[in-house]
Amino acid sequence: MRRTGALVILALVATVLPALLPAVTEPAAAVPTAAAQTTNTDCTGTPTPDLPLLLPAWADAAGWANADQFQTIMMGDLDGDGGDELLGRNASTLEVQRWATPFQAAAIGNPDRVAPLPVPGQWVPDGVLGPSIPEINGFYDPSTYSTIQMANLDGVPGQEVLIRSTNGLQIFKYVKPSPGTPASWQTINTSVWADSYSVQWWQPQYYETITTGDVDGDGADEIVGRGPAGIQTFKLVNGQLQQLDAASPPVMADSAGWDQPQYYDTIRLADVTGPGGTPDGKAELIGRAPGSSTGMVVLSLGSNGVWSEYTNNVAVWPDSQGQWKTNPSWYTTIGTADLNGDGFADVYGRTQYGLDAWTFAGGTWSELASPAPSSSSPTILTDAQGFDQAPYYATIQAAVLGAVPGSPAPAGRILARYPANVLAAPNQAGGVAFSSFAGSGFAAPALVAGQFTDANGWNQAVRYQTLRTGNLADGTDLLVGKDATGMRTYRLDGGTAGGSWAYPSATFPAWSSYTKVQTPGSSAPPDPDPTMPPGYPVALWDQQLASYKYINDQVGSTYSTELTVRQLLSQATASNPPVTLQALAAYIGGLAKTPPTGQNVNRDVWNATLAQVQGWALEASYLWGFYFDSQASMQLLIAQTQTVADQGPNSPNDVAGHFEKNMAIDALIGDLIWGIVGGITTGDPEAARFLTAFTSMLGAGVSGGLGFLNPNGKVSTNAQNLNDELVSSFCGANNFLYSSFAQTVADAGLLDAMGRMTEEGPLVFAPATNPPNPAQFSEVEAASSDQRAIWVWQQFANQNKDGWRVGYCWGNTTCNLGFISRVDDGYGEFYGVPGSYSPEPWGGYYYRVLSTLGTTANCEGTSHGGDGGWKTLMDAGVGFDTNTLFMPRTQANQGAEPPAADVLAEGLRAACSDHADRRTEREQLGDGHPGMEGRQCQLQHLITAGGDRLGRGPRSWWRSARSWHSSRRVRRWPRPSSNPWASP
Amino acid sequence: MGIALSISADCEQGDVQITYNADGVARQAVTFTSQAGTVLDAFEADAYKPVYDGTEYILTDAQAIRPGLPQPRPVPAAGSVLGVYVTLGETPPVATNAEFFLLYRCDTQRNDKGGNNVVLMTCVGDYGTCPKTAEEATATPATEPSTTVPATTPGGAVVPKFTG
Repeated sequence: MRRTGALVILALVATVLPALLPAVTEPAAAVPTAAAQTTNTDCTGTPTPDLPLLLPAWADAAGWANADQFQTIMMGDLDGDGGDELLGRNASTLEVQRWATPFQAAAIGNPDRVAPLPVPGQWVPDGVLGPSIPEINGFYDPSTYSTIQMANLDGVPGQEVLIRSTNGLQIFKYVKPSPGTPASWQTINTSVWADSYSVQWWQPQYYETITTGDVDGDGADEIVGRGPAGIQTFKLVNGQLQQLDAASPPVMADSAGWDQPQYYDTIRLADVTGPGGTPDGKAELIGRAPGSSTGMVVLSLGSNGVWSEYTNNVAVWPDSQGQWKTNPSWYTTIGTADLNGDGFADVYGRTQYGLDAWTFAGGTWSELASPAPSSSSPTILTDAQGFDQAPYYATIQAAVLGAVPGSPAPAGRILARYPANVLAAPNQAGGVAFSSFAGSGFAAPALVAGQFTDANGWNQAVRYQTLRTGNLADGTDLLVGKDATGMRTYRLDGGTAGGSWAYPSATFPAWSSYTKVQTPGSSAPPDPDPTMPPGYPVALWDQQLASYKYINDQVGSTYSTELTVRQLLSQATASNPPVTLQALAAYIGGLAKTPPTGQNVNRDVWNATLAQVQGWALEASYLWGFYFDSQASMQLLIAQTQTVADQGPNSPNDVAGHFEKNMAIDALIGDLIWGIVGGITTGDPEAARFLTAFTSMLGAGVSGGLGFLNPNGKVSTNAQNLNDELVSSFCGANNFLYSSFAQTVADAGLLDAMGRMTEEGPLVFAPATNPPNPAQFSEVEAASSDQRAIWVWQQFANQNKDGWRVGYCWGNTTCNLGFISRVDDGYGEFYGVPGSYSPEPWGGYYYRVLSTLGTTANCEGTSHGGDGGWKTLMDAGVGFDTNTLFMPRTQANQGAEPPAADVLAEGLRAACSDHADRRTEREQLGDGHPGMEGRQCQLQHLITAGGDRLGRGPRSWWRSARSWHSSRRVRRWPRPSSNPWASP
Repeated sequence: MGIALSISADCEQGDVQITYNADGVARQAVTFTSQAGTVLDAFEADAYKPVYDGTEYILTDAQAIRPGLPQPRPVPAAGSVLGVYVTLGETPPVATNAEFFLLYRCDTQRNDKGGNNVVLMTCVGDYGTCPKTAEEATATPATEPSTTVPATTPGGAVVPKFTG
């Protein structure tokens, strides 16, 4: 059955919610669901309610399953307010999420007299678009993205973000001059540790050592990295990096054997010792040195810029001991933390017998905890417990819990993700737990957050590598990790002594059952309410609860005697049209003119409560409109996608065969979503923010497996099946969001966060006829349409129809290619614009890519064209390795016709490398479309990234391919003189 | 017992807070009036609690939607003299009711927003002790704040019982 005409998307049958919604509970684990039916082309399926919408919606299918994104997730205090933000790199920019602050309705009056309202307990996007670190600039490569970290490089409160680009270190500073002043980002570009032939910082033995610490004790962190000649230390001074240790003899150099992972992977900076046994805030350089009897070494940087090594009294973890030299489950776990609370960092690592720890506080090594089992010091993290496996040992990290702002940090703890049946009951399923040092050994795991279990998929790298801890400004501890549909966040309640991790979202007040009475003058503790900030006056909370009840009674008597306000919000998903929500909000607003009688409520509390409840109603209304209105954002995007897929210039009937071999359908849809997001970096930042957030949520639905016949299967040659998959996948996403609406309005914190995003945040997306943002609508519509179209072109392009073509011409021929960029193919030849270089290039090929709108005159059938001339992506024979789905790259012999893959890569690189040329081409083509550059660069990336997007397959393959990719240095411009491809 | 003007009071909102110690109260009635005799707001409701010792907020509003009162009602101009009357106990009131009255010169702004709402008179006592409207209270003009104290302390063996 082939669909015709517009699809009817809205005829959804909603889940009927129970009449009484329980208090908000933790979203269920996002375990992939069973296969969905693919013939559901009109989106009439029942929404699947078991997929959680998690904020931020950093979903697998929105690109966050890629290592260049999920491995960049981190927490740190960006703005210097004492609380951590959540950061992660999407395909284009650095995203910043901050913990939502208490909501204050704008027109309530004197803030000092207004009752603070519940904290949402959710992450919301920062209002400023983060710095650009796009994949097209090489940030898909582990030698760049994996170096991202946060450190206080300037000594001013607030950490900077540091990352190595191929052109050198980049430093991003978040600047917020004063409250109420818009924040901005400042960028410092340096050439430190840039890729070069002489020092190949793209090699892991170098870039993986980049770390930060205050080696001179001045309160600002320095940047330390290990090059071939050893350690280099740079300090940020007046916006420039200055080397501190240029005068030092080499330490940790390749020549001393430090180019092996069992050594360079152990390099750390920490204040492990100080004069007179007192911490001096000056970080030492430590690492496990080569040698059968050397082990851990400690060095300090003197004021003369020379590294000096302490004399070892004992060899800690030398090569000759156990498997320290050979086993990554040992040496990669080496870390530092102040385990005993003496102010010095201690050093820990694990062996097959468990966790071992040493202190160097007195300038000599002394063992804190022996891994040998004993009844007094339970051994943890042993091989027998499964910690010789990466999904467990790779999660071992230090964490500080229970920190009080302004007070010395408490002793550090060891976080680890445990296998099933290792943790004590009732956590037999395993999960994250924390251990503290207990005098002579490590205490049994405590503060168990059992949610990150193997059964829920957390034994995948994309999950367990994202576990992080952080602190809010009030000292609250948070634990986060990336699930399939977004970030899971837990808050530590009850302190570090017997506390527990809980879903942090704010609950709706129990406004329909208010019974709380505070005895005047009583010193009895108030009823605990986790949604209220500490110190909130009980009398005001009493009044707020009374106000909730009064509002609820009034609404209930007006709309239905059976429904509370909250029930009305939730049931809107099933039956109430949007006008009901809007009318509800208006009605609640009208209550402001009818103060409660006999309730003993302060007018300010009443108004604040009223504004909050009205806000909830409006938020639900906004969300409804965003998701379900016939002219709403999501519906428009889905309709556009389906139109392109179904009726575009290259219908599925023409192109289905291309997907027969290797293309897995999840890659297909994931690429579409990524394509929409990834190509808009040249557009309006507001549009970019919107699409990032929107497609993340859309991807959240796709991530859950909704709509896929078989996520790991092959696409049938049957065009109808392809069509069905496309439509069904988006229907699945639609259904996901439909069901997530119910989840959202049943969760006060989530509703508040989503409402902020839709009302005034990145999800603002009003139809053109509906203020306040018609321009944004047009921008987004154009961008999404453009990106979707280019994606379809990329996937479906036929040589005889609209599409992209890539070609090459022999250098000595007269090719009418319009522009030709200078191309250094890495083998000593320069191909460029005739006349632009001296000597004139010869014997090479000119590469370019252009739309079929352009001309290929004089390029067909040149004497050196071979099978050349112009090709589409598919027709050029860009085959994918049937085992790895990886696009092969082979070295072209000098002067010989390059293989098709290189043609594509070089041509696209040429198209992206020079803005002037791009402009010229655009003018020549008469296209004038602003998205042209983005298309080309995106296309370049698709190819040169080794089939990341075109050929990405099942995730099991993806992981192995990325690993291979990482180790082989898939792309490096210009290429090194040696050939890294000789022995794949 | 006492009555005070709330910080949220202005010409539209006749907000007061009354303090009392009561046992067995059931109903309350509130009237917000202007010196010109206009009823700005009026309602009856269940008492906050049958037994209560503390402060209760009484919110009246010249714009409130009340059955039996014309809509809309004009908001008095700045400088108007307004009165808030509260009786607590039963409705209709009985002899054992307590009553509270506050007369003030209003401003269009709250005092914490720069307004100048000035209390002219307060009165608390047994039912029948205090004026019930601003018009009545100003029949004998008061130029300085004054307080009328009941001749006898409300209470005794009857219900409702007020002390304090």
